[in-house]
Amino acid sequence: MSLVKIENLTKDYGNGRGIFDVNLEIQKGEAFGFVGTNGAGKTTLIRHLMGFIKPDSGTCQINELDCWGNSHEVKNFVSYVPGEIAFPDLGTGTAFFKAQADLLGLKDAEYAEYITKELQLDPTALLKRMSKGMKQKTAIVAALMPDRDILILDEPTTGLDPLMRVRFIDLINKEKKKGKTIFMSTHLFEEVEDLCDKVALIKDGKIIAVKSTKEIRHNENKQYKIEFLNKTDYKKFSALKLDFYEKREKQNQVVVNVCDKKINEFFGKLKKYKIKFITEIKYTLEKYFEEVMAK
Amino acid sequence: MKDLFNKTIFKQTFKSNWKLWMIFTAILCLFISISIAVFDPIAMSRLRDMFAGLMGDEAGETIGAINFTLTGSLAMMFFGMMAVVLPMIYILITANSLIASKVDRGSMAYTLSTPIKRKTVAFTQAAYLVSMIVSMFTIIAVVGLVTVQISHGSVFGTAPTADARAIARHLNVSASTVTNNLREKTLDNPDPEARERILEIGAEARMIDVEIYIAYLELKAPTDSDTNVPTLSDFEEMGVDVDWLASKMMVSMIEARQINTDMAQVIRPINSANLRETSDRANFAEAFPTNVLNTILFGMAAQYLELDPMVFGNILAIQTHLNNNRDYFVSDFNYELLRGAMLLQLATSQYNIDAGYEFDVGEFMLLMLGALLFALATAGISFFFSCFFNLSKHSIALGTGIPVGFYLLETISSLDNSLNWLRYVSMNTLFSPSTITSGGVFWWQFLVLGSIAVVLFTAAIIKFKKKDLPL
Repeated sequence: MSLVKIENLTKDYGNGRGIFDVNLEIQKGEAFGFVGTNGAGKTTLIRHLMGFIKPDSGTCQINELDCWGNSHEVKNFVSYVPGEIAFPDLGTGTAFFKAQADLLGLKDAEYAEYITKELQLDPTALLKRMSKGMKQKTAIVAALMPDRDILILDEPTTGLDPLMRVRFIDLINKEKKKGKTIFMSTHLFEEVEDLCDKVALIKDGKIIAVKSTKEIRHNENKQYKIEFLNKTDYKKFSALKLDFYEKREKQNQVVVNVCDKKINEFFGKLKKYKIKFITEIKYTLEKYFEEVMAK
Repeated sequence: MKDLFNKTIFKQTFKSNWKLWMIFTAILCLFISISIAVFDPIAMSRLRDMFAGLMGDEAGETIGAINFTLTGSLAMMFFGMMAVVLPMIYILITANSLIASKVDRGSMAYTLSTPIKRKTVAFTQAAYLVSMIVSMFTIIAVVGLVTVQISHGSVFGTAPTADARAIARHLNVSASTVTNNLREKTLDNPDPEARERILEIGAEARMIDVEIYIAYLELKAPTDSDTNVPTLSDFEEMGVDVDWLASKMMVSMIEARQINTDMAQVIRPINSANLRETSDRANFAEAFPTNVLNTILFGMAAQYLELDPMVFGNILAIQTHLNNNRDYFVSDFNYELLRGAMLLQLATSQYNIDAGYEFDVGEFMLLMLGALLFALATAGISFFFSCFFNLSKHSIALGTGIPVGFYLLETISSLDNSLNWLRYVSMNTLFSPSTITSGGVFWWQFLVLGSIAVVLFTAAIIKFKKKDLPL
């Protein structure tokens, strides 16, 4: 059964802002990505999950508990990294972790120390003096500290440099392997592609599509871009009976769809032509959603 | 209760807020200590005499409304201003920081991502604010009482006066013995020589004439009224024309102050010692020109002292009346009467100095309670808006604007009589220190202030529980 269940969730802020009739189900152990531009409604959805706002209609449940009505009980299963990082006035990161551990009723700080090391964070720094990246790491440590079943992350990688982002993704992957359910929002497709099992695209408060990243990764239908050395070859080749996606005469380029099963046959044909280069155009989530939206 | 109060949140809030509380509490303690330490009853008494001289007939009412004791002075200087404004500033800053600022900045998200209920968070923050205000006023009250005891020694009863201490040294007894048996040790001393010496010592200690000192003692320690008090018939037996007495002396006073009392009551406590001295004389009017007036006025003072705190206002008004109608009195009596009036004035002044040292602990605690309730009501307003709004700027606009507005309204309303109606719009009117010290009604105002606090704190917690949070 699904761990997170959102049914017909609507929150109308007027002027087309808000979220409308959102339905989602997330299974236990699943990593769920939530992609959309700024203002698409990602944070609004997360606020519902955290019980910070009350739905206009519809319901939102975690572990069969209503996220609004039983919001404090839900927090027994949930950890949260807010989108906007603002810490309480507590001086250093260590003081903040200590305060948070007290609120959570945690006794030992071993796990927090482990994550701190993993993220290469110096928690003795003053919260106010921290760089954006350090603050982000601090927020992540605070969220991972209680070792909850569900991790809700609102754009967790903003402010992290590419190296740190990789480290963060590793860390989340580890958490995922432990059987944690992950729900994260982002505006970067690459991030969810690396991390998530399922990805939903939200636009103007509506879920446009939900797609499994496995399907994208193991897509058999590939696209290749080929440039020919001369016009003659280009013309001859483009006259072939192939599934062309695009022909660019000026550059002597073609983009052609090839299924993995027919790849040898395709290369057999290609042997007869002089080519300048050939590249595979990766089929990405972004591309998939672009196609969905274009439809 | 366990469901509502969270010790960890309370501790954390305390950790980040106690400094501000400390600063305000320290400043208030300093202010109350200084207000008490610099209080000078002699200066106060002079101030009162000056008012009486300046204001003439109107002085009675005005001065009656002003309490010239230490408590009265505190009511004006400390409770009328500092005890209202400073806690208010502390509350306005703190109330916003407890909820609205945390929501606006987003740090509330960390508290609410733990399994703690929203109403627990709001209740604990409210409890923090309330307990900080209560402890602030408790500390101020204790510091105030300690300062009173140290600088005036008048928390537990009245401190011995300088003359009582001097006489005690002379008689080799304790000062409190003299204070408690003042008349017995001084005026009623059977040995005339010893009595004279004692009166000289007492007068010297007070730095006044012996004559004024005697008059002062008459005021301070009137005879036990029930044993030796002459009645109207006593006067008649002594050959005093009572009607004459009434018409010439009392009526003018009665007219002046519209004191509704019958002659017997006024004359009752007249000093019997003076009567004894002169009882062998046939004509009361001739025998008493020197002392009659001031004796009767002393009697009135003694009579009214225990009944009505307004009495000194009245007496001063009478004096003023005497001053204003000098010609009338001079023609009808003689300059001795004026001398009596002067004596009375000087003796009253001495009496007032003593009264100034009086410190009413109960009244002081009521003033504290009033200021505390007012602070709690202010906290209710600020805390409510802190819970109501998600943006600090809105919370500050109303949570600060309304209490400050109330304060300004009250201030403006006192500028002119035509603006008096503004008082009824302002919550500050509900805490009136002068009403408390002048024996007015204040309980329902206290009740209203308390109710405002309870209602607004409850509404604030409910609102915070139900609203959408942008976290």
